[in-house]
Amino acid sequence: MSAVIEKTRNEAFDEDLILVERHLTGDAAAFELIYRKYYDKVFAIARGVLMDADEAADAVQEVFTLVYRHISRFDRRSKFSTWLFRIAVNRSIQEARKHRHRHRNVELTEAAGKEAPVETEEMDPRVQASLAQLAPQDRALLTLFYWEELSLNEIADSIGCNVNAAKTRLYRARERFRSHYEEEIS
Amino acid sequence: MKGRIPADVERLMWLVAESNDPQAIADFEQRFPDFRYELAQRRRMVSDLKGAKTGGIASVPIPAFKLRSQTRTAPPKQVWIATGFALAALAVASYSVTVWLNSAPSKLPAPPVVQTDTPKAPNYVQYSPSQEQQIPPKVETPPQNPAPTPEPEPSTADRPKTVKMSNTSLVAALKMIGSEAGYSVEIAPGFQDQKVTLDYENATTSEILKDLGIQYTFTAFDQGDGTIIIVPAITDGPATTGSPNGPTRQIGG
Repeated sequence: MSAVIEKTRNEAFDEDLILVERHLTGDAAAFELIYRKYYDKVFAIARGVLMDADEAADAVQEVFTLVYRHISRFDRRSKFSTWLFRIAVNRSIQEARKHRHRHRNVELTEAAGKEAPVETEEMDPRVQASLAQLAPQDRALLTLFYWEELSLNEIADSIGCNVNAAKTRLYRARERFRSHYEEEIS
Repeated sequence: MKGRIPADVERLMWLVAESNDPQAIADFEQRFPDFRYELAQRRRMVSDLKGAKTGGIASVPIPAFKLRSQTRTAPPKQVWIATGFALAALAVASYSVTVWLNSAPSKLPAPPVVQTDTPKAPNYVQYSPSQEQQIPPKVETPPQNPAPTPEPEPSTADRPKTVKMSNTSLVAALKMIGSEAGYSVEIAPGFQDQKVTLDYENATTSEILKDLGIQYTFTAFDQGDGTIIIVPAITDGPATTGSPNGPTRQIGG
């Protein structure tokens, strides 16, 4: 874990701040650049938490709408990206809770012969089944760490806790995932 | 399996699995050959988990950003606070109403008042027949004289009192007069109840009962145990019947 944990980003400055400033001064293209730069990352977080590409795409639009409206609240104490990821994580978890019951109802309809959405590659069904058994918060942590490869500091900023808490939560989420994953394998 | 793995080896194994560095893997397997299988499992899990990022997604172009007019935001904190206050206010109001209902004075009409040793202007309430079934007549006794008096006060039965009632039940009136004097009044079978009007001023309980007995043909017997029995007959002399508690005595005889 340390290889990823210890990784640091030695950026001389946060170039996102420039885009934020440009957006705040009325440069319409600046926000489009932010959107394009972070779309994939926000989509990956949303998809990791929601486990549904369509819902994730919808959530991404919600996240960027929130960012657009409230970007003036960004206090610049953290990196813009972690502030953005924090919004993405919170919004995705919120949506996941909202959709939890809906999923259970839809499963029966889909099993009755509804056509599945076209996907180019299938996610490993064992991974998918294991992730599905986790809480949205656990999925968010695993997504940030294994998919987005954020450092513990960045994860802590993104979920709004200190580094030690983030480390503990990540360890527990990983153990819970491993438990389900090994059950799926066996 | 996991229980056998020391914590430091477990930690190291995760580091190696997540780094996926061939040199680190080889070193670990050489150092801990017993945990090669465990390491392989973790490497597979990490690899599958990381690989799931792209799995199932068609590489589609980034859609254009459309600013939504309304986001499905959760209710702001102020809404929750206001809701909390509203619920608390409702609870307090409910409690207050309950307390008020429990402590509110009865809406029933005031019972008739029998005054003993009342001052000059007697203050009483007319006792109507419609009220008698609701509330028994209430007897008001004068407040105790706070000043110490060397003379012993007369007993409640011997204390003169004023009784004024109109068109009330004789039985109810007898029970009221008896209870005011500290007696329990029992009515013997065969006693005919009737509507009566009473007007006594400064008369003792014995005098009142005797007079009523004459008027309405009954005799009151003091059983000596705080009980007065009302017998529907007039006796010429003291009763001769005894009681287990002591001698029976005719009231006012």
